[in-house]
Amino acid sequence: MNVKRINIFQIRAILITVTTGIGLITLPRVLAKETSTTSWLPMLLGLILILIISYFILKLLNHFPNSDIYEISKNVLGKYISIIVCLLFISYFILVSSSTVRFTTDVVNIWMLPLTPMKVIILTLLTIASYICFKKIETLGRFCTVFLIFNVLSVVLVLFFTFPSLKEYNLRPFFHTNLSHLFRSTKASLLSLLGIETLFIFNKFISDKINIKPTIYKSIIFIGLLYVLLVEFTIGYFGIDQVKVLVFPVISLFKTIEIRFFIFERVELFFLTLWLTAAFTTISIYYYCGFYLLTKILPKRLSRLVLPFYLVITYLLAQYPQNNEDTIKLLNLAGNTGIILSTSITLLLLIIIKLRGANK
Amino acid sequence: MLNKLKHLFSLTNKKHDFPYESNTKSQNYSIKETIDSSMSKNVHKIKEIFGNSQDFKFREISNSSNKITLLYINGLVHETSLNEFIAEYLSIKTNIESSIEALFSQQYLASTSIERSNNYEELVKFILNGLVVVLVEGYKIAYALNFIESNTRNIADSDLEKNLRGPRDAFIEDINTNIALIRKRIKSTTLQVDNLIVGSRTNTNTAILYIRDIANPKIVNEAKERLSQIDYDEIQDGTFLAHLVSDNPITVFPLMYPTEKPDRAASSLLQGKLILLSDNSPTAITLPTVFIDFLHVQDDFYERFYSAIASRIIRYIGAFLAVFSTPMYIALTSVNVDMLPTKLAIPFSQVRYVVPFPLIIEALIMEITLEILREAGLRIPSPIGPAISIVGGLVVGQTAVNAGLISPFLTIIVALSAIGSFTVTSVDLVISLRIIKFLFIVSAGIFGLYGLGASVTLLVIHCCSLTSFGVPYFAPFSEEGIKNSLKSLFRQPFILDFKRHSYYRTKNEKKVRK
Repeated sequence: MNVKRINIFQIRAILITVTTGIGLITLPRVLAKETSTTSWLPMLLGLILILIISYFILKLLNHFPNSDIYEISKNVLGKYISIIVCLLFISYFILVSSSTVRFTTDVVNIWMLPLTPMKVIILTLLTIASYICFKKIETLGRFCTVFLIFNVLSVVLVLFFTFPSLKEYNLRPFFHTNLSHLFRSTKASLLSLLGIETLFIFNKFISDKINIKPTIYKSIIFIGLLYVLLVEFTIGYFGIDQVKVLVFPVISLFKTIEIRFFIFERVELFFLTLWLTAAFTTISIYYYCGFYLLTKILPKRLSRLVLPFYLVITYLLAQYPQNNEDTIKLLNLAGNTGIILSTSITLLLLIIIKLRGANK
Repeated sequence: MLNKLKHLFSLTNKKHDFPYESNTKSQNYSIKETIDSSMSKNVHKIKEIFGNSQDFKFREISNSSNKITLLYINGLVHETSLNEFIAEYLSIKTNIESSIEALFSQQYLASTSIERSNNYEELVKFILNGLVVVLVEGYKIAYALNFIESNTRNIADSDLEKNLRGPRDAFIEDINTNIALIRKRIKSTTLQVDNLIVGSRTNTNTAILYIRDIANPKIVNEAKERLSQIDYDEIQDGTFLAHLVSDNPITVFPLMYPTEKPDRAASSLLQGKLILLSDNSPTAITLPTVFIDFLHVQDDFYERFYSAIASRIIRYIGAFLAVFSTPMYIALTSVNVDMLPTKLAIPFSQVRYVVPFPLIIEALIMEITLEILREAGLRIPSPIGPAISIVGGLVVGQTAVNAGLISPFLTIIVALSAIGSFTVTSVDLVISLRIIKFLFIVSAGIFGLYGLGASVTLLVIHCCSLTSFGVPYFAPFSEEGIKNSLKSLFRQPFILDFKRHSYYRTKNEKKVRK
């Protein structure tokens, strides 16, 4: 059986589309709250940190080019501990996908379909994500590659329309912050750049393993710099005081923009439709990862029950937050879990491998 | 009651002893045998195999030294040349004394090609294919002579695929002519034609054409494998093959491009694709095919570079409008009304005020009416044609609006979608677009723009999961970067076009020698 089914373009697309998502419309506010006009700094720091994390993850994956996280941990830690590792990752993926689903639902509910019940929107989003689980992994890769252009376009659109009305004085002072704020802000930017942990699943299927490292670094740097620009442009457009109070600053940005010769009045709906593609891809990638690991650790005869079970759990969890504040808390929880989990597991596995190598 | 039901169901499974079944059984035991030296026995057996069918003819002729029987099917054989052959046989035999084998092999008698065989199965196949089988008394070998009469129409322009410039000839209902039409265009020894017989009852001749040093051998083997595994009794047209060998037989989208133009077929071969031809069919199946191929026409390569790009852009816009104009209108006027500028929203709702139905019902009525008109117009005899346009144009367009059943804006939108679909030249794709349009209409009617986005996403996922003989259906958009995607969306000028599209996975990607 040929397992090498994702090519270099597809893995690049997966990494970029999984990263662009929620951060795209909330990040300017989160960063502005903590570090105001210095927000470019935590964003860059976050980028450097995520590059360090990905260096370690890639180093680990280099030892096991043809296995996923289950097989790696089974190899290093034994069968039972590997199941625990997988369960941790599964719960993380469920957490991420359900909180992202919930966040998207909130946005759709506020801006597009105010009268539609939340449950229905959650269900439609999860239906799409579940549909991709019926297909093979290469379908996911192709799907992300097709949608990559829309994801990037949604960011570029922001930059393009804010550029003429940027006010330089909004961006000053360039450097004015203290350490505790910087730390919290960097953490927030790190959360929005997270996405590299999906490689624990996809690395197994990549066909061109030689060129993979530069591609991954390039795509992370690309999206990081795009985010730096996004944050700076949004602050430069609104001014720091306004960005702090807007819940969805980037959507509000489009609400205020009036494009001449454009027949439609609410431009933000067009932006939202583009942004929805980013949400769809983020949700489906994380959802697929969780589903994949779940089918790995469960016996084959239960494989039919996995998807309904998984769907129900995600659905219930997505309904749990009471309001948008809760959703963002859940998102942060998911992000923190992701960072702690991926770094600790990676380092743990690397250390064990190193020790074993020394013993031999 | 239960017993009755059981009986009813068992009836459907019960094997009936129809007389033809026993007949086929008797065919099977004898058909593998080699022929006998006794001519009358052979004739009797073949007659039995054909079940005394009335169009099966045999003629016994004898001259001084030999006795032969000609077996053939009436109508498939050119009678005049057969009579000439008989006359020649009778006259030649009197003055030359030699064996039949020498006569045939030295070609005293028949100027056409000769096949030899010694078993019934092959002889029957020869007869069914229109050859004349010659049985000779005392010989354990039979000869098959080619006097095939071709009853096909002349090569003419295709009604389905029109082009402005370029060759006008199209495939006809004869496989050999069709192969020749392609061979005329590719005078290369690397063009390979492999024949296969498909269809358990129709025994249709089919051919796989490919260029040996361009086409991917894996795809060629896969195609041969799938063709030989077809278990179906009839192959009436090339499209039967396409349906039977498809990767995903139940998808909405066409996975292989059927064409009637030999220039397109030859061009596809040079791109590294395969052509499937079936006898009695003017349709050649091109495989593997990606989605974007259905929006391209051969004319794009005959026109100059800029006009080709321009017409492609128009075609993409047309295809987009064909699918999205009605759903977008519904999403914007019934769900996301606030998106419209006030100046546009007011006339929309003013006009809608008199219409008694909800917008989605109104749109569905209009779309279905349009589909009915189109379906009616497709196969209608030409004298009744104008009536349809009167009924369609006047009643549906004018009167329905005047009566207040349909709003005039919707008529414009639906007409736009119809005109858009006319720019798509591939009939197969138009049908799929029409079907998915209804899915979009319903989802836009319920969830507005969000629903439209969600159903588009679902459809993209579906398309991404499709493959055509292993080639991803959404290639190159799903496989490669933006550069290659643009290259395949729009055409390059010939002086820059050095490479074949990589997503066909050809053996040799270079188009130029250097």
